[in-house]
Amino acid sequence: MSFKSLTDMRSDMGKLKIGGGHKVASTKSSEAESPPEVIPDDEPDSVFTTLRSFYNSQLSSSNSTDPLLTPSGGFNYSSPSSLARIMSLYTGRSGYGKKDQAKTTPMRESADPSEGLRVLDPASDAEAIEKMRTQGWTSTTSTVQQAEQKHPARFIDDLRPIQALLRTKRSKRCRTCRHILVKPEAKVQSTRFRIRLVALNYIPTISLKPLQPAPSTQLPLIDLNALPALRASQFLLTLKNPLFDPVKITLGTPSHTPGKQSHKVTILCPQFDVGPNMDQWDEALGDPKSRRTSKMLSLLKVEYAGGDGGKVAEAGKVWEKGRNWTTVVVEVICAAIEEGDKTAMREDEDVLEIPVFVRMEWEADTEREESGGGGKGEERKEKRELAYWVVVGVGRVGRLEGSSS
Amino acid sequence: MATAAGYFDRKPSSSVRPGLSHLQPNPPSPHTPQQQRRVSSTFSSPSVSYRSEDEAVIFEFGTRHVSAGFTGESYPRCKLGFGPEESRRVGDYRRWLPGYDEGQRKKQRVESWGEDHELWQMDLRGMDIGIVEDKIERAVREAFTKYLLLDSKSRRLLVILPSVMPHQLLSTVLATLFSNFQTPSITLLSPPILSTVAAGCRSSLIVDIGWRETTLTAVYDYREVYQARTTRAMRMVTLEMARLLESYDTQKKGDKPGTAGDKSEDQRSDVLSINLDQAEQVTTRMAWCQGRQGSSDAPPDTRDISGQLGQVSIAEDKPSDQSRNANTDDPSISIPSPSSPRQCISIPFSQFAQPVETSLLAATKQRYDLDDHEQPLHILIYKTLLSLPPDGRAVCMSRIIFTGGGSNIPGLKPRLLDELSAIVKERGWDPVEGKAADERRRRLKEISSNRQLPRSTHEEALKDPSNTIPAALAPQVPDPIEDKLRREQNKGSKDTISGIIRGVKTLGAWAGGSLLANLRIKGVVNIERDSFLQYGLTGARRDAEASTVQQKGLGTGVGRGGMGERGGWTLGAWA
Repeated sequence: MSFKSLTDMRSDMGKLKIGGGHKVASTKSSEAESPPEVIPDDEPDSVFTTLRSFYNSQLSSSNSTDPLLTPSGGFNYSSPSSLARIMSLYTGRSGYGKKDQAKTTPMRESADPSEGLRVLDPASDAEAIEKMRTQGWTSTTSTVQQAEQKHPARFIDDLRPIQALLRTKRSKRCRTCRHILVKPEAKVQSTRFRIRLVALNYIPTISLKPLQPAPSTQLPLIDLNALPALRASQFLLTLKNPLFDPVKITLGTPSHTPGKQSHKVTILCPQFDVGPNMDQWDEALGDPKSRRTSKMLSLLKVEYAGGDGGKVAEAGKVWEKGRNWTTVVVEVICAAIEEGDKTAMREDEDVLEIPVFVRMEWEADTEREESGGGGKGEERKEKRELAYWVVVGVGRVGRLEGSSS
Repeated sequence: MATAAGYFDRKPSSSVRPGLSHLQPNPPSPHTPQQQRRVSSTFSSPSVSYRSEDEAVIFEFGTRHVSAGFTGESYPRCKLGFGPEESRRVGDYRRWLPGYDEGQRKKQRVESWGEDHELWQMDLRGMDIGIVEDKIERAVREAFTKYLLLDSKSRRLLVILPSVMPHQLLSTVLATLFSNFQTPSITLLSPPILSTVAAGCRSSLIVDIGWRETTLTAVYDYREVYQARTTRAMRMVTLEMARLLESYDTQKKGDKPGTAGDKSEDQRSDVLSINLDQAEQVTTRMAWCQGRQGSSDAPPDTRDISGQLGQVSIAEDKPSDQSRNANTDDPSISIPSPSSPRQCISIPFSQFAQPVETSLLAATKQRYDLDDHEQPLHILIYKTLLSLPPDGRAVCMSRIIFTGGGSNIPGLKPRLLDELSAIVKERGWDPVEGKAADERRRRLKEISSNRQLPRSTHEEALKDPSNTIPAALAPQVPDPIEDKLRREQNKGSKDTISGIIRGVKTLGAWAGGSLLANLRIKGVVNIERDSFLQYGLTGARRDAEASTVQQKGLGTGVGRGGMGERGGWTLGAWA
């Protein structure tokens, strides 16, 4: 197999017949010139080109028809051009009327295969059924294969090579303000971005971990794969601020989660502050106690209620606060999932997810942006706020103990 | 200078905007229009004309798939489905875990079976429009970014949508495309018309065997003149296939020897453990349709007769017959078992024809049991043709076009045509049927046979040249002048075939849209972004729409170039 050019292999490939060898070049000329002995092939591509050339020839021949007439033969009073013609007819000042008599017939339909008409023949269907009967399941193409082919291919023999999809670098704009959010560099080799405004650089990172019940209460530990139902379990919700300004956060959540299972959710301290994302040096020079509390560490550490100096979750109080993060307590009472529901349940319906509305407020320096445009350079604070919904995934709700007995 | 000349050469040709020259009330000579056209194009804004040169992108929305591609191509660049797999969250790769499919076998209720594979339902009561919006957005974005590799902002869109759909859905589609993809304008086209165009016809009867319903549309001169629908469509076929698979699957396990396929439609359980993907896989690969019994199969008839003549009981004859067939005609096809993919179940080949038989053709049900919305296809085709005026019927019956997913089932199209011609042979085009009608027909026949005597005297009278022939019985006198006129009129045009039952292949609605856009034919329903975002669907012209659409003959969504009016838009057939 040899290709004409390296650039357009795919169209070359399309011209190849299934069994090898080139297809008969479809006659691009109109119906009058095409020799009748050429059997038009049934490939959708060539049918498409013949149909197109047929319509083109028809349109060009019927273009000279009276514009008062629509292609379907009805009068068209509404278009201004025909109104003008009617007016000129009645005022009798022009020779338009004579020209109208030479109108031709409206475009006709295609009458034979050379014009793209294909009549159903039962033989091809019978052939396909026979092939299915004899060759069975393995000779037919799967739905995935069919979806990727450009034309329907029932049997494996009909499959054509498909092109690899190319990829592009894309820039992305904000949907509402049309500001460019991401713009990669035009150079093919580079993977860098000219503009990259990622949301994570602006909104707090949210993480959640269970606050295990105090060992003294004798309650079992919270297992995220089987959350205890019908009992309050507490979680630590940590918000980490990526901004260089301190942020005021207000959290909101529906008291019952939406969906089939409605779990009861309470955020014990919905309003709090998160410190700025200062340099590490500032932190080192500042409070020595918070120096050790790296966030990753605190996520991995198992915490117990009343464990660390007898601290217990209290409404309206922040659980813990660090340099640029704050932790609050969320209390969840999972609804019980009946044993019978478990089988009829759809996938992931037992997952506890808490929708949270986060509203953040901070005072940003407008100076940085204005200095480029010839600003005064003095620091001016501007109040900004941002609000959005997030969904915090918690874990699967376990079965109710003793419900089976 | 050279660049300027090239610049003007690229202006849209006169065929795009032919109307401008006629705005002049009195052109002095036939040559002037050309000159005027050039002047007008000089003053028109170049950006506008370039935008219209931009090739449109064509989207076809169906219940199960979205196809997208460029104009002038004979196939869509991509065809995207809506399944539960498409709505997974980022990073959820659970489906690739070993044994995931086996764990997934949940019983599903038949009513909601496969609903999560659909983009929308026409019944909006239980539907979440927001999800539809998101699905559309995701599919369109995937089409643009992965397959078309285009910026959606500057491209006109050609959207192929069924013309009978809830306004809420239509509005959702348009709003999503306009607001999320910044499309400058959208042209709506209706699938039956496009299928007709893609078949090369002007009139046709489109049988669109879709997913939820089969739509029959009679198209006359690119206009939808009649529409009928039935729920017997691919969903039903796939459901039947699932039942078949389930019965064989359980049979293999040895749980239940009874096959569900033998039960009648009412007695079946309403839960299924086969999911849609598996059933659809089998349907697309193996479903087929038997030929019509009795007409084409001459051997069975003769065999029966010989059996009756030879006084051989049929009960003895049948089993041997089947066993012989099983080896030659009806081999077992082994397919992967739906419950455990590593095993195979074998099903006789003839069984794969059963789902089509029971669902689309309703072979197991009596006709009086069927409601209006679940008529079998061949009956509905006949009824649709019957409801057309005779001229339209003659033209449409020889241009029956099958499209939609169901048209890929081998053997279905010839079968439907055979059934149709059998009905026509039996009943003719008489809308009255039933016992009373048969009785009346019989009586009429009796009366006419009683009158046979006087007619024969008439014929004798005809033979006798001395008698004067009544004008009603005289043969048509050939008129040479009229013949000549007719010949002159038909010169250059070929005869249109009509009055015979004939099926025509089509390239499909998408290809038709591509063809139309490539020929620069504009649709009637052309919606601009700004006007839609300002007023929504209510911004469409109400007062003018009924009159203009009909007078222009464009109610079908197809018009010739340059006919589109400025200022105000109409919903046309979608209103």
